[in-house]
Order: sequence, then C-alpha cells, then structure tokens
Amino acid sequence: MVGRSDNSTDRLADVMARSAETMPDEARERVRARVMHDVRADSRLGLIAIMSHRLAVAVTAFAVLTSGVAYAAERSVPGDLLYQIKRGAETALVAVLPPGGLENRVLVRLAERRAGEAAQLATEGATGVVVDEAIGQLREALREATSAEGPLDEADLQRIRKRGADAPYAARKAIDDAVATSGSGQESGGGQDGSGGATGTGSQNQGPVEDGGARNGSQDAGEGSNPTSSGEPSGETSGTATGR
Amino acid sequence: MSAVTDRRLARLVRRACDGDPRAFGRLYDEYADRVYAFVRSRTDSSHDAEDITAAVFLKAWEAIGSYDDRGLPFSAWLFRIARNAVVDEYRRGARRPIPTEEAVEPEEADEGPDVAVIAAADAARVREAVRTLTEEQALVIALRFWWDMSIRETAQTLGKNENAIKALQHRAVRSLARMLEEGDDDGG
Repeated sequence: MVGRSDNSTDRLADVMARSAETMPDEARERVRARVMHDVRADSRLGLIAIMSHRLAVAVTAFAVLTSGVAYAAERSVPGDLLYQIKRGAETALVAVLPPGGLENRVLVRLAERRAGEAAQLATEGATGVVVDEAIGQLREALREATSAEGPLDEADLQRIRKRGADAPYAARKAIDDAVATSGSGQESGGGQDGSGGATGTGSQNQGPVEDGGARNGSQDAGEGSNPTSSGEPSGETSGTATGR
Repeated sequence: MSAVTDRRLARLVRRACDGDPRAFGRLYDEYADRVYAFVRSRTDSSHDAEDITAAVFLKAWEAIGSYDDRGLPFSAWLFRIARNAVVDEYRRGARRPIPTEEAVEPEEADEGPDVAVIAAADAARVREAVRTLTEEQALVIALRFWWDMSIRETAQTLGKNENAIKALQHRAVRSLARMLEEGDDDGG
C-alpha cells in the first residue's frame, strides 16, 4: 500500500510539475528589467545616503590624494590610519561602476589587493588574529568577485595567489586555500568554521553561510535562537523601507 | 527547477540582504518562474500575472533587509509575499472571490485513479482546472508541485500542520480529477 501510494505521489508530482505555467522568455526579461530598474534606483538612493556619510572621508581623501599621501594610502594595510581611506575609495569606485565586465575586473583586482595585504601583514610579523582578519577580507573579496561573475578564471586566480607567494608559509597556504575554494561552494574549507582561523588563531573570518550550520562571520546579524521570529513579510505591509 | 545550489542560493540571499542589486537579480532569475506559475494560477490574464510578479519582487527587495534566514526559508518567505500580492490584487480588483475551507484529517483513499485522470489531460487543461480550485488547495498545489516543496515545507510556509496539507492536497487532486472528467464528458 505504501509503495503504491508513493508511486502515485511521484506520478502526481511529475504530472503537476508539467502543468506549471512558465513565463515566456520575453516576459521574464521584461519583468526583470522593470524590477531591476527600480531595485537599482533604490540601491542608488541607499548609496547616496552612504556616500553622504562618507563625504567627510572623501574630502579628506581628496586632500590626502593631492598632498602626496596617496601613495601611503594605497600602500596601507588593515590597522593603518589611512586604510579606511583606501577602502572607502574602493567602495566608491565599485558603487559607480555599471554591472558587467569592468566591474568584474575591478572586483578581481580588489581580491588581489586583499591577498597582498594579508601577505604583507604576515611578512611584517602581524599577529595571527590580524592576519586571519585579512584572510577573511580576502575571502569576502573573492566572494564579491565570484558572486558577480561566477568562478574566476585560472589567470585571475594565479594573480591573486602570486600576491601571497612571498608570505610566510601559514599565510601563503591560507591565501592559496581561499583562492582554491573561491566560487566552488567550499569556501569554508581550511579551518574557516569555528575557531580555527586560517593561521590558527583568528575568529573574524567572513566565511560563507553554511547550510543549516553556524556562521563564523562577524557581519551577520546577531546569533539569535528563536527559529520562528524571522523578518517575515507581513501581508501588504511587508514593503517597508529598510533604510539601505 | 533549481539552477543554483543551496549554498550559492544562501550566499545570494545574504548578499541581497546586504543591498546588492546583482544578487537580487540572480534571485529573480531563480524564482521568477515559480512566482509567475503561482500568480498566473490565481489571475485571469498573463498581463496581470506579469504585473503582480513584478510587484512581488519589488516588495521582496523592499523587505529583504529585514529577512532573517533563521526563520522561514527564503522560498517560503518569498511565497508569502506572492500570496499577499495576489490577495491584494483580489481586494483591489474584486476579482474572483476567495473560497476558504476548513482543513480536515487526511482521507485514506487511493489517489491512483485521480492521478491517472490528471495525467491523461494536457497541461493547459490542468492549469485551467487549478485556477478553479479554492485558494488553499491552489496554494498547496503550487507549493508542492511548482515550488517543489515537501509536505513539511508546505506546512511551514502556510502555517498549517502536515495533516492539513495532506488533506488539502488530497482534495485538490480529487477536485482536479473531477473537473477534468466533467470537461471530458462535456466535450463528448
């Protein structure tokens, strides 16, 4: 009886799945264009808000760039005073790039930078925690790049690896691991979960979301415990602005 | 139907939550057909279905900053938005009334003959028959077979217990078979 019922259910699933009305390709693209037009417009508004907060930083950055300190900012690593200027400039650049090839190239270059920073920190004898944070930033940058265009090609991966070639073994390996697992759905490999950072000490790595598992990134919302209290939409009032 | 892995989907959702339009675009690519299939089953024209599908994704974008994957799975969350959008459309346009029904215990009947009737009908006729189901039956059909959800996931999405979902599915299948059979009789 059970087997018969299962067969019937499977057959029903097949039959009903075929009855789903699919959106014609043209309609799917038309609706996508409508949706994404508004989404991007809203996103730009959010960006303006972010940018206004960063105006002071930008002014400072401009002063810095025109006073010969640009070189120092470009060479800065996490922990340096000028590092936030460097990252702010990067964020502003990515934000104004149109989606597509150029943006993807920039995102890859930013991943290269993160690898270089991690290598530099390790070479200069930074603590494991600091290096692990930098590796976490590398993973985040790789995630940005792969999210934009899928897995990176080998030439890109080689360039990123090369930035860590002269680093001490642990950091070099951590960079290689991050690169090897980028875009493969295995980004948590190499000690990303739990307390085992890339260099054995860190806790700030921003690994990917694990299916049904814990997260290790610090950027996620607090680790709540109530599985039912999600930010679930509530009827027609679900469309509340989120203040991006 | 899913083109991306669960892990990649989780990453896309997280990035969209962070306000990344590109990630949201990919979520659209992943879910547009499912949303449309459901919406189309509850609307009278493909034009209306397109409008509502667009509205669903725009509402999702507006609300996604507060989405928390520790609660509902993303697909369930999105489906609820779709369902609400359809209900809003009913209210606005006074389209067809929304029949409701009380869930009952699942009936221990063999669905085989009903499934055979449905299997013999072409997809367009089955779709037409789904449009005449009660709202709850249609929701279950959409989630179970077009969104590929399990009984448990369907129950979670609709806030019902699993027996109620089984009962609704059973009755939906019976109704579909009956309507298709009647159609055959009418058509000679």
